[in-house]
Amino acid sequence: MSDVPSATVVQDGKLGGDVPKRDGAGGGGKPRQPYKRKLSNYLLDKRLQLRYILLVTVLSGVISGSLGYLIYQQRHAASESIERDLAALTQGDKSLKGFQEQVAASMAAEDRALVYKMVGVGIGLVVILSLYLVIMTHKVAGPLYKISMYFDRMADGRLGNVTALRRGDMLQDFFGNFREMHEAVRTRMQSDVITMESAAVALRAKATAEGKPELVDALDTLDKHLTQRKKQLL
Amino acid sequence: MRQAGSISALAEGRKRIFWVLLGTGLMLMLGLGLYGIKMTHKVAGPLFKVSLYFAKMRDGRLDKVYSLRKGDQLVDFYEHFKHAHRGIVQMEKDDIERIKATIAAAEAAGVGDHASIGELRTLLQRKEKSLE
Repeated sequence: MSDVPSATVVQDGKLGGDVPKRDGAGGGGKPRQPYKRKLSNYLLDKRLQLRYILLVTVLSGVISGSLGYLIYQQRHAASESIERDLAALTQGDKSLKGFQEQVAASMAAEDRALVYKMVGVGIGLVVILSLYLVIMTHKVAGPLYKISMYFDRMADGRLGNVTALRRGDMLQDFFGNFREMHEAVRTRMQSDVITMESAAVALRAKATAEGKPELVDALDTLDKHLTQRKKQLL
Repeated sequence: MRQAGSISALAEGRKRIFWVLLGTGLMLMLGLGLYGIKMTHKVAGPLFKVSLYFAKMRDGRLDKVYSLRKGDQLVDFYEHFKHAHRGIVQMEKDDIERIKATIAAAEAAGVGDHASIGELRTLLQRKEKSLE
């Protein structure tokens, strides 16, 4: 029974099955490339992530744009009022025309500067919010993606090791539930293999001693099944 | 007179900005709050449902997995889970088939009362019950 795998949980933050097998530990297959955090990997579930990101950034863009427009309107109205009042005060005095134009140009420049500042702040807000949301949604989509990979392995009947989530990932409790379930199923399967293997050994001894070839054939098939199952549990 | 009119117009504009800011802020808080609750529920709902199935699987119960509600998120994730569940069910079914064949062969060979067959029957019973 020593070849029945133990239910060890790998803790190094790598994906289960990504840990290269030691020499002589069986398998001998090419180890998978370890998962690396890349910029392109930040949108793991594009539909889910972009939906939230788009909504929040569009909403913040519209709100900051509308408020900016109102502020600009107010500022522009104030500038126009000053210009009008200045024109009324210097009415008929041609010597102050230059001064009047200078004030008007200065007001227009300040209005323009306000527009640039508000556009800059608006774009900055949208960019910062988008990046923040990409990171935050990635922290949810990442664990779901990882669990989905384990689900695919389970669907193929492979119940290998489960590794921990990365630090900072969300859904830690959910992942804990998944890991607990995975370990329970794996341990139960291992225990079942032990039970079947013990029964096969005892029955083979009896079948060989009493000369029961049909039973030996059935036990050979059971052995093949158990060998396959043990590979799945590695 | 005109100056007083301009000052009054500017004061009106300032007041308008204040109310628009206040109204937008409150609406934003309320709208985003409600939207947040609705959307996170659509994500948390499926996760909660999958967690319940995890608990069942942990306890050795592999009964039917039902579909998500209409409008729920994480549909792809849930499909992956359903496949995983089917995979485990298939493993149990394969075990059941193999145990049954071994018991049948042992009975045919006249060793059906062997202690190991008793163990296999108990295991078979447990596995069949897990699929009910």
